[in-house]
Amino acid sequence: MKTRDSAQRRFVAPLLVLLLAGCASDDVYFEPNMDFGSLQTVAILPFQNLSGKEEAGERLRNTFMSMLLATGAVYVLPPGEVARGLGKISRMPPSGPSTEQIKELGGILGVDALITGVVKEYGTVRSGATSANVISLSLQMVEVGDGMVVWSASSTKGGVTMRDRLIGGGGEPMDTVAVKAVNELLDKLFR
Amino acid sequence: MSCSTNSSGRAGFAWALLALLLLSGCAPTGRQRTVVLETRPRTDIIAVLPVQNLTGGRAPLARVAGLVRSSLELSGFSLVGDDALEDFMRKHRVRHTGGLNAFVSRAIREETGATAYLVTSLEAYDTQTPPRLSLFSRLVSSGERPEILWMDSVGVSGDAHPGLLDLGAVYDPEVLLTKGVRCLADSLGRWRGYAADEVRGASPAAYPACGPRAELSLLSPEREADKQHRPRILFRSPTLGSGQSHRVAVIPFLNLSDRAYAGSIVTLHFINQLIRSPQLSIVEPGLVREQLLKYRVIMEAGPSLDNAETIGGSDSLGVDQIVSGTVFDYQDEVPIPKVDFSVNIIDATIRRLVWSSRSFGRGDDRVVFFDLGRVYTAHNLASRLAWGTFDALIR
Repeated sequence: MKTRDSAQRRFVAPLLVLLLAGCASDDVYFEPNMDFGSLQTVAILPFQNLSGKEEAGERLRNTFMSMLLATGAVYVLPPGEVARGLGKISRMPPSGPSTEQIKELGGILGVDALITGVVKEYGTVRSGATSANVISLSLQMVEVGDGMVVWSASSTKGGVTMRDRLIGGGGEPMDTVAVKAVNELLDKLFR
Repeated sequence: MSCSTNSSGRAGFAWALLALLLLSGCAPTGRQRTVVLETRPRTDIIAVLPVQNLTGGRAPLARVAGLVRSSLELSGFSLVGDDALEDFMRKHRVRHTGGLNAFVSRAIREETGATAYLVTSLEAYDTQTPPRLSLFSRLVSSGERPEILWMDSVGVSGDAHPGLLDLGAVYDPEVLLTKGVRCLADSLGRWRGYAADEVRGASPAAYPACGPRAELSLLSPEREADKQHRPRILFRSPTLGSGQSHRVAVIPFLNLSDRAYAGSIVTLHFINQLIRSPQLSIVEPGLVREQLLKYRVIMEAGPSLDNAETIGGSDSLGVDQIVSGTVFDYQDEVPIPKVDFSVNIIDATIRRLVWSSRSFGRGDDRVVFFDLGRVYTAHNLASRLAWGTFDALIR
């Protein structure tokens, strides 16, 4: 009887953990005192790329830039202008700009906020004989006045689904996965 | 007897019905527009420049140039002699054959008598089975201010029209090359005869061997219905009004793909579409290149607002819109082509980004049944995507 109880506990405990994980709060941070309506112009810095795919950062940055512009909520500086501004400040560390550099860059570009990002995953994942595209991206918005992070969010899209396992097909195209991931991030920004 | 009469009456009715059905099959589908085009300036003598190689490998450039020359001569064009052109190129040390700067453009008119010059760019020449060929060609007026008079492109693949039992498949690259050059020469010939050609409601299907016809893109009902190739992501500033006239410079696209020269190729695709709009005046790429070299503009991530102002404000260009972009994918090597690029337009007068779009597609995007609707070459796919962007831009 005692053995049966402990076996039940061994089964129930992981199940509870899984269920509770589903109730975890989402990965969005908003600075409570920030007036997001005051943001008119933003600059998107080149994303840090931790994936194995070269140019993944630039691909996702471009997708995010176009989709953010398409919302009509803010104006985004063209990438060439951002590159000009980055060329004028001292060497930026790979992990992102320091508070001083953020303020300096904000002054050069004349923007209200900077958006930085990290591409954590961009490629194909395999599970048994099935493979699918996956993208994991996290972004943060920094206000140039005081260099504070005012918004942060992340999104992971794609991966092997039950449908892929049953029917196959290799998952969705990478561009479609990218649009979904960026769309989710925009939903988190404008909610 | 009466039976015979009835039977002949029924037969007559059946034939009439059949004829009506057949004739209705010949009727044009969709809307048919009537466009009256202006009379084009005469081009008396043409200098055919050596072919620009954008294949990223070795290609029979002299053979292509020879075919272009012979095709144009067959179409009745007068050409500058080979020796005279070679002497001119040597004298002025012309190495870049993708366009001429203002000085050389004036010199070619004064020294060879050419009223226009033909710039031909070989995008792809693949002799593997099935062979593939893609070509761009544009006619530019010579003189101090060169202007694009005509432009067209062709992308053909040996397996694009296999027909019954593969009888229509082309395995000889030479046959494909001849066909491709012929398509361009015919297009140039049609351009020359436009003054008399008032109705252009023709379908792209009228030229199946030549791929999608850019010259017909504005008019064809099929292309109008093609929403698949419009930009997937699109930002259009309210300041970018439709119907206004603009002078536009297209800057070579940044190439982040694995395909060599993909940036230059997509740039040519865009120019090929943009010149169809009567509201837009497109700067000859040779002049844009001259300005970029003159001001030593290096753009690692596209033009900055200062770059746009510099290019736009220069005396010889005088443009108000700068088109730039990035090519992320241009895959022609695999069985299914894939193209992915972004487009940005900066208004140099107000120093603002007024357009941003992202277009991507695969050759099998429209395939639902066997290979119907498949696009066989990256050239044709990029041409459709560029048209989709252009179509969204001019609306």
